[in-house]
Amino acid sequence: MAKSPKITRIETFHHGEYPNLAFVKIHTDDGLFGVGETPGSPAPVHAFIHADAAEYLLGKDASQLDLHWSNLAKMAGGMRSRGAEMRALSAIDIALWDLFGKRVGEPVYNLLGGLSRNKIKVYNTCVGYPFYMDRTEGPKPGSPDYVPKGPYDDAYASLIDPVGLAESLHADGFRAMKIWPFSQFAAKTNGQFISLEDLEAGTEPFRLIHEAMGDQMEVAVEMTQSWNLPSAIKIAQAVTPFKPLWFEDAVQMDNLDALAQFRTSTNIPTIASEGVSTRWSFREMFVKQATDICMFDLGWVGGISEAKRVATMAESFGIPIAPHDCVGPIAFMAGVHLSLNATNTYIQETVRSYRATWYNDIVTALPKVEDGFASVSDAPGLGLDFTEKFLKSDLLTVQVSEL
Amino acid sequence: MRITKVETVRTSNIPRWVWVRIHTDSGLIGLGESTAVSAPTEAHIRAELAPYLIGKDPMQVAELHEGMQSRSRIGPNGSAEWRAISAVDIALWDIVGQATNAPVHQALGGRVRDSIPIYNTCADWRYAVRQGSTAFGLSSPTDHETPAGKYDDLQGFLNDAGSVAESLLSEGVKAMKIWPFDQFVQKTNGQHISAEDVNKGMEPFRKIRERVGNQIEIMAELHGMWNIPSTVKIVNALEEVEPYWVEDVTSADNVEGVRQVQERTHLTVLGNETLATAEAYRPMLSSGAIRILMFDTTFVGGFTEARKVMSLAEAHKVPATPHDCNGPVNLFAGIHMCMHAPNAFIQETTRAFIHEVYGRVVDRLPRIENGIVFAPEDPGIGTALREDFLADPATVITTVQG
Repeated sequence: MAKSPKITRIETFHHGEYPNLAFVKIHTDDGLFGVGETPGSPAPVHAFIHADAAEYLLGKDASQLDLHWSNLAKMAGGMRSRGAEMRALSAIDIALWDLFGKRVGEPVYNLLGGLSRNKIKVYNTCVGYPFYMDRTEGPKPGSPDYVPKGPYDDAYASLIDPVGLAESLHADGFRAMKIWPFSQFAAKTNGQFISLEDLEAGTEPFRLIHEAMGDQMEVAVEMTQSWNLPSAIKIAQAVTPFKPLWFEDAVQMDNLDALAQFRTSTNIPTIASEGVSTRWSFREMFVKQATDICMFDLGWVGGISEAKRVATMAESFGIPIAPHDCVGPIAFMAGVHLSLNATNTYIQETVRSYRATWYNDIVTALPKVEDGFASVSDAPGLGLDFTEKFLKSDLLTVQVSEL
Repeated sequence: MRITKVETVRTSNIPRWVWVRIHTDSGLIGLGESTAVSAPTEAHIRAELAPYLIGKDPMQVAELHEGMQSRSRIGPNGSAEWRAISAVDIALWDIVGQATNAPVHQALGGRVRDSIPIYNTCADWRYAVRQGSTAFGLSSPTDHETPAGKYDDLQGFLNDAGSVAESLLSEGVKAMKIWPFDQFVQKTNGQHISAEDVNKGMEPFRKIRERVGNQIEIMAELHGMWNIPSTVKIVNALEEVEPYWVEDVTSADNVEGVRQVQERTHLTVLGNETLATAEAYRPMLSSGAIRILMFDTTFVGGFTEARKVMSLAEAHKVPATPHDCNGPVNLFAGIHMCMHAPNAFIQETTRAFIHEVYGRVVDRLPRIENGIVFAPEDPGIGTALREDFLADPATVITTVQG
């Protein structure tokens, strides 16, 4: 007989140390719970969950993931939204998948269709220790007054000692890494123009790493949607001699025709974009042949459900996926489950400075990263929970909606 | 001039509406508004936008519009963040207008006309409360708790559409919008419509034509809830009564799908007030998916973005029309855009909202006579929240200040 567990309680957590993450925990009347997470400003996410989504979800059958996705997306006023409502929906969907796995005693990757591989190649995103969307004052990496915060302060290292950074990553087993040295110049002109001088300075880390390490380290160029099309093409041309892994988020994602023009301007792969949500937006990107590789963030694209749908659609266009990480531990775990399941996974993102530190403060388990590959355990659901330290912190604010 | 304080205002009577009031050290107060799912909109204003705005010069709307976007991490589609930015942007333009002693349409660059025809959206005032429901507001179990009032145009068009048409014509209003097919959506979640239901949905249109002939234009609203084969079936049937336009024929998320419907009918497809930013409208226009554009100033990104959208439509030779059936500030915003933009041609109004609700919330209403709305003449947006509304126990005001 089918199990119809009823949703009885929805909790959200806000933690003062991670001011840009919203966490959700959904309970059902069979005594189980699932966890989810989404990045970005949490205040409107929590407001949507408690003022609007909870009213719909409480009392509903937790196993009807597709129906709940569809109904909550309609409440968001447009299914291509990537605003607070879609982030909330993503976190809820991740929690419902975690619940699903726990209910049937299977890891999420099995529910998605099983393993296509036991481990997935990872690359390291070279960000420092503080949360990526750090709002604290004081000198930022790149400024002369900045003091490195530990051995993995990789954003800082990418600017002052790129070869040392690449060697350190190589010693950790990585053969691919991502840096964004051009972004420091974008603010000068709001991305409207890049000077030859800045172009040369931004290219330097790629040149140095390529000359020192050759095919032992592939470096991805993250352009953070900071540039207009002519500037982006100039950057791509400058880095191309050093055989980068890909060009990421070369232009803003609100004009996919411009992205398609960028893609045809270079024979290095184009990848886009963690900033895009839902199958409708990705469909347009694929139809326009605007990208070679599809990146999404599970905490934003619409959860595990939507990531799987986008991955399958990408496959039909011959496009591989590369799930994003750089935001939080639960979305990372969910991303690796999908990376291991999808037949068309190119590579998975990871951040060693986060895995070594604050990811562990939030959750009890993370994907294992070894010799440049990631894998997960066969624990039911996503196989993680919030830590005691997190749940007992004085900095934690809990909001509850229940039947 | 500096922004000193940002207030959000909501009322438990209509939870879907939210206002923002921006206070300045000059004493001027700017009023903005948005609607739909309003708790996250309000939360975004309080948590992200207000701290950024306080201390800034409200006259630099372009800079503040960019700054609010960069603090919102969003793309070009409707969301709580865009609704929040829309509300603030409207309030900023209200301040600009008041500070320069100019109505907003004047501050935007002046007017091309001083009046414009209206049409009536056939809702009752409770529709403002029900809109988000899965039944899309046709009815609610709590309807009996509050009377519909004088203008129950919703039950009117469902049961006796000819009389609604006559009543509108007697007020000089020569166009009306109805959505009788919504009552069948839930059966299949918009995946299939039977021939019988298409026929039933046609009844109100036929009754209008039988009673008043071609004296009144009819706008057919489908609310984007049908898949393509179902919507084509409905559009085919509608050709019999020549509606002025068919609105939101399928989900705006599928631009290609909207284009396919437009391609297969001689009727005019209109879309879609749920979008935010000119970038989101660009594919709709360049692909020929819509022949008339609709936007909502309180969703699209305020006046700053509405102006871009109307100009982009104009460059495509596409007329544009502002959405109402939301709050009173939105109606004023739409009218200002109609006075300013050459490619405006009609303004939506909802008489049930104007007469039953707007007057209880704001201190001035637009001048409407004989189916024509006139340019607001007061500086700024031309209306403000009433003191007795602000003092009402159902009104909740939250303040962020420096």
